[in-house]
Amino acid sequence: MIKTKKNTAFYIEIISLLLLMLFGISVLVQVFGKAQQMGNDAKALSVTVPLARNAAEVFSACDDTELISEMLSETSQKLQSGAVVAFYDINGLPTTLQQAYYTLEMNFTEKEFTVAAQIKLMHNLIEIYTLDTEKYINRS
Amino acid sequence: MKWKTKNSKPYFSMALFALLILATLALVLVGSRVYQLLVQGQNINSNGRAVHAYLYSQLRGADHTDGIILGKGPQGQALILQENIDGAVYETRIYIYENQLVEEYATQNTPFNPQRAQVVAQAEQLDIEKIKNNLFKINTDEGMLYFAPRSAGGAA
Repeated sequence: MIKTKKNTAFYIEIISLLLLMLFGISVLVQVFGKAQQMGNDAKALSVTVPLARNAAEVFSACDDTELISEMLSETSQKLQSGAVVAFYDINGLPTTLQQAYYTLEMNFTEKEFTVAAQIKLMHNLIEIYTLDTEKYINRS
Repeated sequence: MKWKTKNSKPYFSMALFALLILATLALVLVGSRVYQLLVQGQNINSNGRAVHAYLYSQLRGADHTDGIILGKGPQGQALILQENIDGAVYETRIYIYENQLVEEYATQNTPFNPQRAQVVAQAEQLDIEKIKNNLFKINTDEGMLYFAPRSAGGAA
Protein backbone atom coordinates (compact mmCIF):
# COMPACT_ATOMS: atom_id res chain seq x y z
CA MET A 1 0.00 0.00 0.00
CA ILE A 2 2.76 2.36 0.95
CA LYS A 3 4.67 1.47 -2.24
CA THR A 4 1.63 2.29 -4.42
CA LYS A 5 1.24 5.70 -2.77
CA LYS A 6 4.91 6.44 -3.40
CA ASN A 7 4.59 5.42 -7.07
CA THR A 8 1.50 7.56 -7.58
CA ALA A 9 3.15 10.60 -5.99
CA PHE A 10 6.23 10.04 -8.13
CA TYR A 11 4.23 9.86 -11.35
CA ILE A 12 2.18 12.94 -10.46
CA GLU A 13 5.43 14.78 -9.84
CA ILE A 14 6.84 13.60 -13.18
CA ILE A 15 3.72 14.60 -15.08
CA SER A 16 3.68 18.02 -13.39
CA LEU A 17 7.33 18.51 -14.23
CA LEU A 18 6.82 17.50 -17.85
CA LEU A 19 3.81 19.79 -18.19
CA LEU A 20 5.77 22.66 -16.69
CA MET A 21 8.66 21.94 -19.01
CA LEU A 22 6.39 21.77 -22.06
CA PHE A 23 4.77 25.06 -21.07
CA GLY A 24 8.19 26.68 -20.64
CA ILE A 25 9.41 25.35 -23.98
CA SER A 26 6.27 26.47 -25.83
CA VAL A 27 6.56 30.00 -24.37
CA LEU A 28 10.26 30.26 -25.22
CA VAL A 29 9.78 28.88 -28.74
CA GLN A 30 7.09 31.50 -29.33
CA VAL A 31 9.36 34.23 -27.99
CA PHE A 32 12.25 33.09 -30.22
CA GLY A 33 9.94 32.82 -33.22
CA LYS A 34 8.61 36.31 -32.63
CA ALA A 35 12.15 37.66 -32.19
CA GLN A 36 13.23 36.08 -35.46
CA GLN A 37 10.18 37.49 -37.22
CA MET A 38 10.90 40.96 -35.85
CA GLY A 39 14.53 40.61 -36.95
CA ASN A 40 13.44 39.68 -40.47
CA ASP A 41 10.98 42.60 -40.57
CA ALA A 42 13.70 44.99 -39.42
CA LYS A 43 16.06 43.65 -42.08
CA ALA A 44 13.38 44.09 -44.76
CA LEU A 45 12.79 47.67 -43.59
CA SER A 46 16.49 48.46 -43.58
CA VAL A 47 16.65 47.40 -47.24
CA THR A 48 13.39 48.96 -48.41
CA VAL A 49 13.52 52.37 -46.68
CA PRO A 50 16.67 53.50 -48.60
CA LEU A 51 15.08 52.25 -51.84
CA ALA A 52 11.99 54.35 -51.17
CA ARG A 53 14.12 57.35 -50.19
CA ASN A 54 16.14 57.05 -53.41
CA ALA A 55 12.93 56.86 -55.43
CA ALA A 56 11.63 59.98 -53.64
CA GLU A 57 14.84 61.87 -54.49
CA VAL A 58 14.61 60.81 -58.14
CA PHE A 59 10.96 61.87 -58.20
CA SER A 60 11.94 65.23 -56.74
CA ALA A 61 14.51 65.79 -59.49
CA CYS A 62 12.67 64.43 -62.53
CA ASP A 63 9.34 65.37 -64.09
CA ASP A 64 9.26 62.66 -66.70
CA THR A 65 8.13 59.21 -65.56
CA GLU A 66 10.23 57.59 -68.29
CA LEU A 67 13.30 59.22 -66.78
CA ILE A 68 12.27 58.19 -63.26
CA SER A 69 11.91 54.61 -64.46
CA GLU A 70 15.31 54.76 -66.15
CA MET A 71 16.98 56.18 -63.03
CA LEU A 72 15.58 53.56 -60.65
CA SER A 73 17.07 50.61 -62.52
CA GLU A 74 17.67 49.26 -66.00
CA THR A 75 14.97 46.64 -65.55
CA SER A 76 12.24 48.91 -64.20
CA GLN A 77 9.09 49.31 -66.21
CA LYS A 78 6.54 52.00 -66.87
CA LEU A 79 3.05 50.54 -66.76
CA GLN A 80 0.13 51.63 -68.91
CA SER A 81 -1.50 53.16 -65.86
CA GLY A 82 1.45 55.55 -65.63
CA ALA A 83 2.91 53.83 -62.57
CA VAL A 84 6.56 52.89 -62.45
CA VAL A 85 7.65 49.47 -61.18
CA ALA A 86 11.18 48.45 -60.27
CA PHE A 87 12.54 45.13 -59.04
CA TYR A 88 15.20 44.44 -56.42
CA ASP A 89 16.85 41.37 -54.94
CA ILE A 90 17.02 40.51 -51.23
CA ASN A 91 19.97 42.91 -50.77
CA GLY A 92 18.24 45.79 -52.52
CA LEU A 93 20.18 45.53 -55.76
CA PRO A 94 18.34 45.96 -59.08
CA THR A 95 17.29 42.72 -60.71
CA THR A 96 14.75 41.29 -63.12
CA LEU A 97 11.07 40.57 -62.50
CA GLN A 98 11.78 36.82 -62.35
CA GLN A 99 14.44 37.16 -59.65
CA ALA A 100 12.78 39.98 -57.73
CA TYR A 101 12.47 39.73 -53.96
CA TYR A 102 11.21 43.29 -53.45
CA THR A 103 9.00 45.24 -55.84
CA LEU A 104 8.88 49.01 -55.84
CA GLU A 105 5.75 50.61 -57.23
CA MET A 106 5.40 54.35 -57.78
CA ASN A 107 1.96 55.79 -58.42
CA PHE A 108 1.49 59.40 -59.40
CA THR A 109 -1.45 61.72 -58.79
CA GLU A 110 -1.56 65.10 -60.48
CA LYS A 111 -3.11 67.94 -58.53
CA GLU A 112 -3.60 71.62 -59.35
CA PHE A 113 -0.11 72.83 -58.44
CA THR A 114 1.56 69.66 -57.31
CA VAL A 115 2.24 66.06 -58.24
CA ALA A 116 2.04 63.44 -55.50
CA ALA A 117 3.84 60.12 -55.59
CA GLN A 118 3.12 57.11 -53.50
CA ILE A 119 6.14 54.82 -53.28
CA LYS A 120 5.26 51.34 -52.16
CA LEU A 121 7.73 48.55 -51.39
CA MET A 122 6.35 45.02 -51.44
CA HIS A 123 7.44 41.44 -51.05
CA ASN A 124 5.09 38.82 -52.53
CA LEU A 125 2.43 41.53 -52.81
CA ILE A 126 2.67 42.17 -49.06
CA GLU A 127 3.30 45.83 -48.33
CA ILE A 128 6.47 46.47 -46.32
CA TYR A 129 6.91 50.22 -46.49
CA THR A 130 5.07 53.14 -48.08
CA LEU A 131 6.34 56.65 -48.60
CA ASP A 132 4.15 59.55 -49.74
CA THR A 133 5.83 62.55 -51.27
CA GLU A 134 4.70 65.60 -53.21
CA LYS A 135 6.33 68.36 -55.25
CA TYR A 136 5.32 71.59 -56.90
CA ILE A 137 5.21 71.67 -60.65
CA ASN A 138 5.65 74.62 -62.92
CA ARG A 139 2.76 74.58 -65.37
CA SER A 140 3.68 77.84 -67.10
CA MET B 1 9.68 -8.85 -11.02
CA LYS B 2 10.11 -7.01 -7.77
CA TRP B 3 13.86 -6.66 -8.47
CA LYS B 4 13.24 -5.30 -11.98
CA THR B 5 10.77 -2.66 -10.74
CA LYS B 6 13.18 -1.39 -8.14
CA ASN B 7 15.97 -0.87 -10.71
CA SER B 8 13.84 0.66 -13.46
CA LYS B 9 13.15 3.85 -11.45
CA PRO B 10 16.71 5.18 -11.43
CA TYR B 11 16.97 4.61 -15.19
CA PHE B 12 13.67 6.38 -15.75
CA SER B 13 14.75 9.29 -13.55
CA MET B 14 18.07 9.49 -15.32
CA ALA B 15 16.38 9.41 -18.73
CA LEU B 16 14.06 12.17 -17.62
CA PHE B 17 16.97 14.20 -16.33
CA ALA B 18 18.80 13.69 -19.62
CA LEU B 19 15.69 14.80 -21.50
CA LEU B 20 15.49 17.95 -19.42
CA ILE B 21 19.15 18.71 -20.00
CA LEU B 22 18.81 18.11 -23.76
CA ALA B 23 15.70 20.29 -23.96
CA THR B 24 17.47 23.07 -22.07
CA LEU B 25 20.53 22.81 -24.33
CA ALA B 26 18.35 22.87 -27.44
CA LEU B 27 16.59 26.00 -26.17
CA VAL B 28 19.89 27.71 -25.41
CA LEU B 29 21.18 26.84 -28.89
CA VAL B 30 18.04 28.10 -30.61
CA GLY B 31 18.05 31.26 -28.48
CA SER B 32 21.70 32.02 -29.15
CA ARG B 33 21.21 31.44 -32.90
CA VAL B 34 18.26 33.85 -32.97
CA TYR B 35 20.24 36.41 -30.97
CA GLN B 36 23.23 36.01 -33.30
CA LEU B 37 21.05 36.62 -36.37
CA LEU B 38 19.45 39.67 -34.76
CA VAL B 39 22.80 41.21 -33.84
CA GLN B 40 24.16 40.48 -37.32
CA GLY B 41 21.15 42.17 -38.94
CA GLN B 42 21.40 45.10 -36.56
CA ASN B 43 25.09 45.61 -37.38
CA ILE B 44 24.49 45.52 -41.13
CA ASN B 45 21.61 47.93 -40.69
CA SER B 46 23.48 50.39 -38.49
CA ASN B 47 26.65 50.35 -40.64
CA GLY B 48 24.65 51.04 -43.78
CA ARG B 49 22.61 53.70 -42.12
CA ALA B 50 25.57 55.40 -40.48
CA VAL B 51 27.35 56.25 -43.75
CA HIS B 52 24.22 57.16 -45.70
CA ALA B 53 22.67 59.14 -42.85
CA TYR B 54 25.94 61.05 -42.43
CA LEU B 55 26.13 61.85 -46.16
CA TYR B 56 22.46 62.89 -46.29
CA SER B 57 22.74 65.19 -43.30
CA GLN B 58 25.91 66.82 -44.64
CA LEU B 59 24.39 67.27 -48.11
CA ARG B 60 21.16 68.70 -46.71
CA GLY B 61 23.18 71.10 -44.57
CA ALA B 62 24.99 72.34 -47.65
CA ASP B 63 21.87 72.51 -49.81
CA HIS B 64 22.19 76.11 -50.97
CA THR B 65 23.36 77.71 -54.21
CA ASP B 66 26.88 76.46 -55.10
CA GLY B 67 27.04 74.64 -51.78
CA ILE B 68 27.87 71.21 -53.23
CA ILE B 69 30.89 70.74 -55.46
CA LEU B 70 32.60 67.63 -56.78
CA GLY B 71 36.37 67.65 -56.45
CA LYS B 72 39.41 65.42 -56.49
CA GLY B 73 40.69 64.11 -53.18
CA PRO B 74 44.03 62.44 -52.39
CA GLN B 75 42.69 58.98 -53.33
CA GLY B 76 39.73 59.49 -55.62
CA GLN B 77 36.75 61.76 -55.68
CA ALA B 78 35.85 64.22 -52.96
CA LEU B 79 32.59 65.80 -52.00
CA ILE B 80 33.18 69.45 -51.18
CA LEU B 81 30.53 71.30 -49.22
CA GLN B 82 31.04 75.03 -49.09
CA GLU B 83 29.71 77.60 -46.65
CA ASN B 84 30.24 81.31 -46.45
CA ILE B 85 30.95 82.70 -43.01
CA ASP B 86 31.49 86.46 -42.72
CA GLY B 87 32.78 86.67 -46.26
CA ALA B 88 35.22 83.78 -45.95
CA VAL B 89 34.52 80.48 -47.70
CA TYR B 90 35.03 77.29 -45.67
CA GLU B 91 34.87 73.76 -47.02
CA THR B 92 33.85 70.45 -45.54
CA ARG B 93 35.68 67.90 -47.68
CA ILE B 94 34.48 64.30 -47.58
CA TYR B 95 36.66 61.70 -49.25
CA ILE B 96 38.25 58.26 -48.96
CA TYR B 97 41.70 58.01 -47.48
CA GLU B 98 43.40 54.73 -46.54
CA ASN B 99 40.14 52.73 -46.58
CA GLN B 100 38.36 55.24 -44.40
CA LEU B 101 35.71 57.80 -45.12
CA VAL B 102 37.09 61.02 -43.70
CA GLU B 103 35.91 64.59 -43.21
CA GLU B 104 38.23 67.55 -43.39
CA TYR B 105 37.27 71.10 -42.57
CA ALA B 106 39.42 73.76 -44.21
CA THR B 107 39.36 77.17 -45.83
CA GLN B 108 38.86 77.39 -49.57
CA ASN B 109 41.87 76.89 -51.87
CA THR B 110 44.01 75.19 -49.24
CA PRO B 111 45.48 71.79 -50.23
CA PHE B 112 43.96 68.55 -48.92
CA ASN B 113 45.51 67.43 -45.66
CA PRO B 114 44.27 63.94 -44.67
CA GLN B 115 46.29 64.05 -41.43
CA ARG B 116 43.93 66.72 -40.16
CA ALA B 117 40.79 64.86 -41.27
CA GLN B 118 38.38 63.12 -38.90
CA VAL B 119 37.47 59.49 -39.58
CA VAL B 120 33.75 58.97 -40.19
CA ALA B 121 33.60 55.25 -41.03
CA GLN B 122 35.47 52.34 -42.57
CA ALA B 123 34.84 52.57 -46.32
CA GLU B 124 36.60 51.90 -49.58
CA GLN B 125 34.25 53.44 -52.09
CA LEU B 126 32.88 56.93 -52.65
CA ASP B 127 31.87 57.51 -56.25
CA ILE B 128 29.89 60.65 -56.88
CA GLU B 129 28.20 61.46 -60.15
CA LYS B 130 26.20 64.56 -60.99
CA ILE B 131 23.55 63.07 -63.23
CA LYS B 132 21.57 66.25 -63.67
CA ASN B 133 21.80 69.79 -62.41
CA ASN B 134 19.57 68.73 -59.54
CA LEU B 135 20.47 65.09 -58.98
CA PHE B 136 23.56 63.41 -57.52
CA LYS B 137 24.21 59.69 -57.52
CA ILE B 138 26.57 58.48 -54.80
CA ASN B 139 27.92 54.94 -54.59
CA THR B 140 29.41 53.74 -51.31
CA ASP B 141 30.30 50.33 -49.87
CA GLU B 142 26.82 50.24 -48.37
CA GLY B 143 25.00 50.82 -51.65
CA MET B 144 23.79 53.61 -53.84
CA LEU B 145 21.97 56.77 -52.84
CA TYR B 146 20.42 59.58 -54.80
CA PHE B 147 20.35 63.14 -53.59
CA ALA B 148 18.30 65.92 -55.15
CA PRO B 149 19.36 69.36 -53.88
CA ARG B 150 16.25 71.43 -53.25
CA SER B 151 18.26 74.60 -53.93
CA ALA B 152 18.58 73.54 -57.57
CA GLY B 153 14.91 74.40 -57.99
CA GLY B 154 13.13 71.08 -58.43
CA ALA B 155 12.83 69.21 -61.67
CA ALA B 156 14.79 70.57 -64.58
